[in-house]
Amino acid sequence: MKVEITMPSLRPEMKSGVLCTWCVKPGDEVKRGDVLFEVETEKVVSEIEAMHDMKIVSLEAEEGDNVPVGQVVAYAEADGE
Amino acid sequence: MTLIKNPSHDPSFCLAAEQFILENLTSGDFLMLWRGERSVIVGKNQNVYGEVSILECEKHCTPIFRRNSGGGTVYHDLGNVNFSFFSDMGERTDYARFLTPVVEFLRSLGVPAEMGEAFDITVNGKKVSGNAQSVHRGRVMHHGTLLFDADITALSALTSHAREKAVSKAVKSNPAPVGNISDFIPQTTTVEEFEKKLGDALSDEARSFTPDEVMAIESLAGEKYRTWEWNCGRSPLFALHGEHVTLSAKNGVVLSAGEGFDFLVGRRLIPSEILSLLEEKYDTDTAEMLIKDIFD
Repeated sequence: MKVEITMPSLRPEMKSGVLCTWCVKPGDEVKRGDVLFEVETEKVVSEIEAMHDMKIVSLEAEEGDNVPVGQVVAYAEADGE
Repeated sequence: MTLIKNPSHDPSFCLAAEQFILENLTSGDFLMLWRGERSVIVGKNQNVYGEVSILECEKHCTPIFRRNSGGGTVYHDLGNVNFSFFSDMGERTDYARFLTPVVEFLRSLGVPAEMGEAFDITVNGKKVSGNAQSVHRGRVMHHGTLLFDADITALSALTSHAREKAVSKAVKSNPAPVGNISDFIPQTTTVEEFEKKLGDALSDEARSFTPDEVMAIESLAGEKYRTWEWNCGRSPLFALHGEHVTLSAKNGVVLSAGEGFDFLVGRRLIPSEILSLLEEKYDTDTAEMLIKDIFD
């Protein structure tokens, strides 16, 4: 099953966040709870964790990019339909 | 709120202690107060080479450290009291719940403190406190500075170095006029007394680090906060458009350089190491001039 990983909304008024650091790369197999990337917004650095086990396929944003909430930053493959 | 006593003035130990508490003391509310020796502290996602004059820091014997929270570059010395709160994250980013008790404490001393727009604390329009946060597995660390009687001249000399010739996507600092809290307190108070009163006002019990915790923090400080790789090398990709030297670098290592400077490729951006390379090609005056072009 193809999984879209998107820029999360960390507070109601958040429109975008800076993807500061990738903690994974294509081909990596990650477990639920592993940190995928870090976002900085309003001087807060937040770790974004995997919601379930998956294998990273591609990264769609570069470190330093200001990414709108909801935009895909990576694709992954996970078990299931 | 439990006050964790931390008598260390070593910024690398204190920054490691912040990370240790955030990641290991995962239930309850904690506060750590600390004062670090003179140093410049950049935000986690900043480009050291774009925010700081490394030559100026070397001239003032001032080390540079990188903290684990976001935001811009700040100056520390023993006249600056840092407060670090640790708590459950809650549902959203919230600065007010941490800043409100600090503002109320300052007002109790007669200081007309207000919460500023950029998550800081101001007094009569001057910033006396900068704040940032780090979130890890549902816990939040809120870190703030309180300029009590810091060396404002040194602060200005060391942190007012936004270098437009260093271009990157890194997080930029947001300079503001700053002031010392001691200038606004009616009665004479030492920074030690101020720190003690702050701790008493914000906490209801206290404890010290255990020997095992100190060992773990020391280990983390050595592996991370005392390394060039973290403090400078974590800088993201940037391009330097100097008057004489152009280059690109990532993680503090030169990726490409303009004509005649190919010998810098693959080298770490450490002034003493780059100077040695330049002196093999140029006379001393020219090498010094090029070093300033790259680092100042």
